[in-house]
Amino acid sequence: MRSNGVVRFSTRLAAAATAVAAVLLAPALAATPQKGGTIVVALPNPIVAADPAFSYGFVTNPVVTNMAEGLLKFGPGEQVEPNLASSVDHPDALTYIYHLRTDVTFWDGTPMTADDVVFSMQRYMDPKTASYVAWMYGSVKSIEKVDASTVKVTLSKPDALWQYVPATTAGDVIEKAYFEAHKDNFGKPGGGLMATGPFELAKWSQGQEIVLKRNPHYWDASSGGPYLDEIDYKIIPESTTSVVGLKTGEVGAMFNVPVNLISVIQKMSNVQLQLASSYFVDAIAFNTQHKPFDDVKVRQALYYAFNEAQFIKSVIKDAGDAAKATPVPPALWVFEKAAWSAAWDKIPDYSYDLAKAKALLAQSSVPNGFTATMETDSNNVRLNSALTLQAGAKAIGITLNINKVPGKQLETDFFNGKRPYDIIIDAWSTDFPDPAGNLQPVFASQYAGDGGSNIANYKNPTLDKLLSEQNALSDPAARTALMIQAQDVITHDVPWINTDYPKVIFVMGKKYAGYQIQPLWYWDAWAKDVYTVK
Amino acid sequence: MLSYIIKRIGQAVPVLVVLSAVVFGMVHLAPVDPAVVMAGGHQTSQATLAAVRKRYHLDKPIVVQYLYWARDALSGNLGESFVLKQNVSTMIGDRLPISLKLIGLAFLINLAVSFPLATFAAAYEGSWIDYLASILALVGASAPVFFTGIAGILLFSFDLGWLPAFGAGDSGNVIAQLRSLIMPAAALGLNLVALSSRIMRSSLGEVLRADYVRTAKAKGLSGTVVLMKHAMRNALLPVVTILGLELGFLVVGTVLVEYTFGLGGLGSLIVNAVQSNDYPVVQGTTLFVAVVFMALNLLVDVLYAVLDPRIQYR
Repeated sequence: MRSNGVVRFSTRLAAAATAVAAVLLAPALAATPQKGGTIVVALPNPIVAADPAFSYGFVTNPVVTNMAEGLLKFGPGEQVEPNLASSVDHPDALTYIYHLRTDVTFWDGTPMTADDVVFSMQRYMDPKTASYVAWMYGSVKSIEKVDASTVKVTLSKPDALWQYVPATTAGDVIEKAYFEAHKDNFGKPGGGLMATGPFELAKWSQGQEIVLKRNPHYWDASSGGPYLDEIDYKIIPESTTSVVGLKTGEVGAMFNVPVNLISVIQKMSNVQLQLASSYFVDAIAFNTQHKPFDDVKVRQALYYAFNEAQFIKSVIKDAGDAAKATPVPPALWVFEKAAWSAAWDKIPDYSYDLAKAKALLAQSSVPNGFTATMETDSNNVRLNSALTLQAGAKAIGITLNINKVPGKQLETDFFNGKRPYDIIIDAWSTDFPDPAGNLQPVFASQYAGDGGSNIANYKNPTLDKLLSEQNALSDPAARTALMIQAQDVITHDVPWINTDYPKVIFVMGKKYAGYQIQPLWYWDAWAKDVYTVK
Repeated sequence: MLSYIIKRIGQAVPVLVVLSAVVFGMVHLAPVDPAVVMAGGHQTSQATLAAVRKRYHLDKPIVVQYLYWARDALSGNLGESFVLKQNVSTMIGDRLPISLKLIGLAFLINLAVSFPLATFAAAYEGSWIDYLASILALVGASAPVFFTGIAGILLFSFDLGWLPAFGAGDSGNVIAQLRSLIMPAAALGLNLVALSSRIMRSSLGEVLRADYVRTAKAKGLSGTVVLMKHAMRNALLPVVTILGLELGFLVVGTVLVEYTFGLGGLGSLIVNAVQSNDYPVVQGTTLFVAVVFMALNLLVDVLYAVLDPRIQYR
């Protein structure tokens, strides 16, 4: 996912906060969770809809994921675990058979059946729904009911990433009969939804608040939660106000933590700040089809001209890790860790070196320098990375102007097939615990068009072949070998300058425990195991 | 009078047509692809983008799009939000009560502060009370709403813990609502005290120097009776004009205040829509606010006649 909602901060106190959080969590974990209590969660915007079809963002997801559940889920360490499906068979490269649990009921007591599952998935896939997660169904041919508790998904071509889709909102199950009775206002205030999750929709006043209450008949009570009686999401656009709420106790948790207020949060004795390495990459992407960025020497020269060490030290501080030229950060080595780690050591070093930068530029198509434009929004991290590159480029005779656009324009240009920029500054993360999600959608040529995320407009047949080959395999070792070859191509060609690998951030009152943020937090039913500390 | 009102409404029609076209055109000048906005700003298949463009007529020329929108708007349907997938008219209806409460309370606070301030300042012209009132008014006018708002939150919620930092309070509980709205309403209302109290004071001051006030005083009437009975009503005319304008300012001011205080009224709807390029909501709310402005102007003109029977309408 693009980082549209991610708010980052830059403070040296963050590391201290992680330590504090660890200490604070220790006694909390020892306590026995008990039912009861309410948590107020601050949201910066209204949610798009109470509908998994439109839950693909950092505001809507932390609401919907506590209500609707998928066939699978991501457990600790982002491992795929069973959820509404008790097991998955994968008899051949194109077939996935989901065996559904038979003890799951919707909030209204109706048992969940294969019909509901087939209906839900077909709805996400249908272009007419215009679901935000429709793209995940790109390689799906058909979704069929085998019997009352079995569903078969057939792919049109092998797709290694499909295995994760049922653990996202694109695998969430809603009740077919309820949808058909509420066609006009499903997912909206008044219509709501009918799902199976630990919390059900209790109240929704437009623009003010959304209240969820505990599902007393939750099928998976054996695993612990849900404990909280209520989750009360309040829409508070001004982040200062939310942070004041954290201090007064009016706000219990907050995901989208603003940059400038972290130091205030750290002084507050009643909250815990959680930071975790993520799959995100902050990047300055060259439009590799625009001259002179089609010349690899120009791209390499600019990479050497980017003073990453200084950027991390003065802007990112502890809110992210130093990056290498690969789009696969170490946190994303979820399988075949040894192979990834060995490859990491061989990645070319593009550390700040103006002499190398000048030498490369001298051999390039534009030895005397040139002028180009970088597109960014006013986000603190992105703007500062632009300024850092601008300074380095100037030193080797390249003039880079900064074109500051509104956030929404940056977003639409990101997905605009015309690629109307020389350089674009943004961030990317896979939505799956798989390095392929940080390679294929952003570097395969098929994603350069409208709606695609190949922001570097990078077109390399060798890379395309490697990526599509690995995607057709299912053996992790074989896939990793191909992905590492792809990584070699990218780290040589540098379509992006990776400025840092940012972290994900979560703040929760100390009176609560039971959730630790992880890279793909936005797919988590995070409140399920949250409880009040006595 | 009635024919005057009908005539005024008739004059409003062409204004609205031009306004709606300008609003529609301006919104569509933004260099943002609405289909991408509707697809959630995420990776999307071509088929999904095509389905979205067809459904919202984005594949048609802009004039045709405008006519579709204008036709629906005439029947009170302002279209569907690109981002929140809800009907814009319903959203305005849902969010209006909170904004009205906020505007009403802010207006009352404005009156409750500026009337006494202006009256005392006029009655004791040139004294320390007059100067103090000027200074207070100046401070109030100089501090932007979001500044007084945040300062209020920091003082009354963060440090003192007296008032809630955000939200509108439980809709069934009047006390809770008052506690929640008093700070945003004060931030909004005090901003206007300068304008209303200065206008009121100078208007009153002028009237107090008029011949008939001297006559009234000469008749031996007490100062209070002269001030409140004879001078006040005549001094009110320019004040009414200003108050009408101020209601307009308040509508605009809610945008900032609701954002700061997490009040989900019309103002925060507008801010959110602008930030997320939600064209139908921007168009719908702008049109709605424009209609409200025009209605307020009409109301002010009618009020003139009530206050001053000499004013005739044709």
